[in-house]
Amino acid sequence: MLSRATLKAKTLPLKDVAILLVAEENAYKAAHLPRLPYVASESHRIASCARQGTGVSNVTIMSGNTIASEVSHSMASSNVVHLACHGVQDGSNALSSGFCLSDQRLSISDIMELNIENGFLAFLSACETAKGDHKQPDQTVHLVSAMLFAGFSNVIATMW
Amino acid sequence: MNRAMRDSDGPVVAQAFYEHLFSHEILDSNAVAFALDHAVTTLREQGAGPERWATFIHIGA
Repeated sequence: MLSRATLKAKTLPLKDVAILLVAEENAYKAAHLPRLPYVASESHRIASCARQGTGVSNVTIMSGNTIASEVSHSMASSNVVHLACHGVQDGSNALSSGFCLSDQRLSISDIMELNIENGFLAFLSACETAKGDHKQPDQTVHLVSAMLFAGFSNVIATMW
Repeated sequence: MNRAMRDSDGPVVAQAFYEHLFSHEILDSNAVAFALDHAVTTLREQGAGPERWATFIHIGA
């Protein structure tokens, strides 16, 4: 799986960038996580960066009321994905770790089913996206590996 | 120590990162790594401690 990710084209002309910006201020209720007042401005700042004469024209913003199935569907047709939301590393079941969207978690198991043909970069602007599992420190099942498996060749993440 | 990425750092890091990234005509893994370095340096220059800037990592090639 990882070798498949490294076999992909390692360059991406700026004019071919299709960027998906996901921002979720309010995680689903059962997650009991605090509001993230800055995520919406984060995605708008990126969108204006992209539109300032860079040649990037394909910009999709999903901000607020994000539905996990819609996000994963849009991810499949993007080559750059930026996620600004809560992230959770599930200590008891690493595969249910995920991004806390408006309806539910977009989990590692959901992401691993995706096959993103032209994935270039995933920026996981969320907590605990590269934290890993306490019980299995040698088995790096975290959101970064899920994104690499799904087909993104570069992943930016947070260790805490 | 606050054990989480700070919400208000997101826009700062993201803006510095994408401004740098989109200044290239063709993106490659080097461009991604240098853009992250630039973004983290920006955060450090604003006075953020290591608990805030050291959490950001780049994996992949």
